This record gives sequence, structure tokens and C-alpha cells, in this order.
Amino acid sequence: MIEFQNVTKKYPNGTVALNDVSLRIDDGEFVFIVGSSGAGKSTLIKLMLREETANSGVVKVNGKNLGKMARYKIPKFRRSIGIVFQDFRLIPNMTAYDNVAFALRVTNVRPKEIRRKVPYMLNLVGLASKMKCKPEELSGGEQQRVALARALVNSPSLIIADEPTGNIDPELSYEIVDLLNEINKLGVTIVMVTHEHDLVEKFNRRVITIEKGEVIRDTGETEANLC
Amino acid sequence: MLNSFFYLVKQGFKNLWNNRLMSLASIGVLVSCMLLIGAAALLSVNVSSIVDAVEDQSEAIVYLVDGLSDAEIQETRDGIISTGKVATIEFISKEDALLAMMESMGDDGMLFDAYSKDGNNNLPDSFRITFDDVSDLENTVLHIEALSGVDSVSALTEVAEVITGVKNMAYIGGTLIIGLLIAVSLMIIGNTIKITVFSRRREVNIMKYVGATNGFIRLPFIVEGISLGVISGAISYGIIYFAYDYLVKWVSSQNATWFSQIVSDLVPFAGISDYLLFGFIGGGAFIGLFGCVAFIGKHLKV
Repeated sequence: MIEFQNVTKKYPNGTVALNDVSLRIDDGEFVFIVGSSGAGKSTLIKLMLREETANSGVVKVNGKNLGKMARYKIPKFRRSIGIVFQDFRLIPNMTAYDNVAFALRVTNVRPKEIRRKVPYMLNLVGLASKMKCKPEELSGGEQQRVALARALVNSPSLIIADEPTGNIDPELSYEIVDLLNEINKLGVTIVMVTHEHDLVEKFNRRVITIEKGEVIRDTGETEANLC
Repeated sequence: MLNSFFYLVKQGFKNLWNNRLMSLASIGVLVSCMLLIGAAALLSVNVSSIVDAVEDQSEAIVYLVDGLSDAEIQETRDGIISTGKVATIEFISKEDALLAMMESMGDDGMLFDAYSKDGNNNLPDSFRITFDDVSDLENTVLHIEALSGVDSVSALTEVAEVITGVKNMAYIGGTLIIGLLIAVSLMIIGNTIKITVFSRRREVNIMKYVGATNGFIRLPFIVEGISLGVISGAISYGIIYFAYDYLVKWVSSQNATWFSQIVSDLVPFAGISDYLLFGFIGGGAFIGLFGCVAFIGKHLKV
């Protein structure tokens, strides 16, 4: 569960990115976060990942108050979350296999387990045949699927996707969101930031709209459950 | 835990190859700096050695008062040794002094035959001494002159002052130059490592998002940094070894006498090789390690 209670985030240059934001995302939900550029979406994600801390208010993710979390506990916290970015963020000199395996290695998983899990995950996202390819040898859609496999490999209860379809073709975008949809059906909470209205309309899920650092619209969980 | 450790060490070596252009640039910078420092150190050590050799050859003659008993001569000898700066001391009786003088004059030495008869030898007994340390020779001479059995002391105190000056200059100058070169090298190396880390900040950033701890991210960089330092140290050592060997051979092939004199005073490479090897490889590894730990820090705050 993600909970924001009266959260305000002001950057040192004076920009107020979020102003008294309160919201709650329950376990198992699929939520789109939309808003124009500079609305505060990225700050919202950064606060969820504990990349930034709020100036006031409380941010809780999976029951943990991130404002009070010690620095050394951040890596362990992040391992419980799958993260997907617009620019894929794959390590360039590692193969698709190694990129996915890396997320397991940081948690000190045994090599035998890694050899079992990574091909399974890459197979799940349809890239079993491209395990040995480096990111530069893959298309945008394929890179994003590797990133998705990496986000999933630690069996997270929450996936945060920051404009995951921003750098890929519209047709592939639907594929990626379809994949996220399937993952959500397994009980994983999905928070996806996007500005692609077509996607939001097609998938008909809960939509939180942010403008000028404030939540101006929330279709609510009940509406999401209608689909 | 051990699995991760071996994986990370392997990753460090892999990165060395994957970023080979940057590795090559770092090695180039490190080797250049180490060569400069090594050359300055060798120069300083050799100047010191040559000056030491000259210092060893500087001697003084202590003329004794006429008519001293054996006990008094021994007492004077003890007094000279007690200055603590004497390397060797040799008693030269008035008879030996006359013989030496006559020998040095060749055939003309016969002219002094008459002096060799009993009671005619006016030369004094003396001590020939060499010094361990010619610094402050003037005071040492004054101290010896004050001894009761000593008539006078003949020593080249001005030459000693020059030697001491050169020695001090070599020491201070060498230390300053080496210190300066180390400082400049550290700055250049620091910047090279900074660029290396900066060019891979994205990689570090991704690792942080996936949940890697700082130690997990640092270890491959540390392995990489130490390897770069050790490789550079070994290359520098090799270059210095061959260059120094070539230089010594070249100097010895020259015919000039002063050249051959210098060669005999040059420090043999074997005498300093251990220090150089340790300094280069140890220093390189330390710089690599320190640079990585220091400069990667700010990219870890994600």
C-alpha cells in the first residue's frame, strides 16, 4: 500500500513540486498517474522510491514511513519494488541476461537460483531468444521488456513504471501495458505514470491527475474495479 | 555472500576490459606521473650517493705536539674519536711522514736523507682522519685543535661547506620536487578517476535503483582502481629498470675519467629496486583505491 498524507515537496530553488498531496493506493490496484510536464509526477515517483524526502507530510510505502527510513535501509527497501523507466536504464555493457540477473545478485541470490529464474523471466516477456544480446542490440520495445523482466525478477509486491511507453512505438506501448495488466492480475500493485491519454482510456483503470503539484482528479478505486 | 564477492571481483576485471579506452587513458596518466616521480627520486638518490662518496674522501691531518709519550698519543686519538664524526683514523709517525714525503719526491727525495738521521727529523707525528659527516666540519676541527696533544689541524673546511651545501640542496630540492610531482600527479589522477566515474554515473545510478548497496557498487570499481594502479606500477617499474640500466651502461662506456668516477658512485638498481617496486605498485594501488572510493561517493547518493 502507498499512502501520502499532506505531502509537500519544495526543492532548494524554491519550486514547489507537490503541495499538500494526500492519496492512497491499496494493494493490488492498477493506477495511472497523469499530468502535464512539470506537474509533479516525477517528484511523486521519487518520493515513493525514497530518492527524495518530503518537506512535510508522511509518505508510506509497503507500511514503511520513508521520511524516517535510515539511508542504509534504502537498498533493501528498493529491492521490494520493481521499477521501470522511460529510458529503460539497462546497464549498457551487460547482456539482457546479466541485466536481469543483476537485480537478483544484489539480493545475494545463489547462482543456481539465478540460472533458473532469469531465463524464466525473459521467457515471460518474450525475449528468451535474446538473452545474450546487449541493450544496444535490442529495439526500444525489447529493452523495455528486459527492464520489465528485471523489475519482476525479485517478485515485488509493487511495480512503479515511470512513463514506460514514452520511448516506444504506440503498438508496443499497448503490449507493455498489457503485460503490466497481466502482472497486476497476479496481485502486484502497479503505479504507472504516463501522459498518453489513449492508453489511459483503453485500459480504463483508476486515474490520478496531478497539476501544479496538486491532485486535481482521482477517479477512485471503485471506478477501477468496474472494468 | 562469497558468491557476490567473487562475482563483483570478476565484474571489476570485466569492467577493466569493457572500458578499455578509459582504462588505457588512466594507465597512461598513471605511468607518466610515476615515471616523473621515479626519475626525480633516482636523481636525488644518486646525487646524494655521489656527494656521499666525495664526503668519504675528504680527510684532515691532525699534527701532534712534539715529544708526546705513547699514552698521550693514545689519549689524543681517543679525544679525536670522541667527536663522533670520524670514519677512519690512522697514526703516521714522523719517520713514516718523512719516508712518504721522500717517496713522493722521487729521486729528489734523496735530498732529505740527512733528516732521517736521529734527531734531525723535524716533521711532527700526525693522525690522518676521514669523516663520516663533514657538516659542521669547522666546529669539529676547532674541537680537535683544543685537545691538549694537538698542535694544528689541516682540513679543507671550505670544500666541506660546499659538499654539505650540495648535499642539503639535493635533499631539500629532491624532496620538494618529488612532493610537488606527487601532488600534481594526485590531481591529474584524481581528475582521470573523476572522469571515469562520471562517464559511468548512469550505471551507478541504475544499480542504486535496483537496490544495490554502496559496497556492492563500489567493490568492482575498487578492483578496477587497484588493478589500474598495479598495472601502471609494474609498467613504470619496467620502464625505469630498462632506462636506468641503459643509462648506467652508456655512462660506463664513456672514456672520460670523471664519468667513470660517477659510475662507480651510482646507486645500483638492485639496491633501490625493492623500494621502487613497492612504491610504484603500492602507491598505484593506493591511489586507485583512494580515488575510486573518494570520487564515486557523490554518485551514490541516489
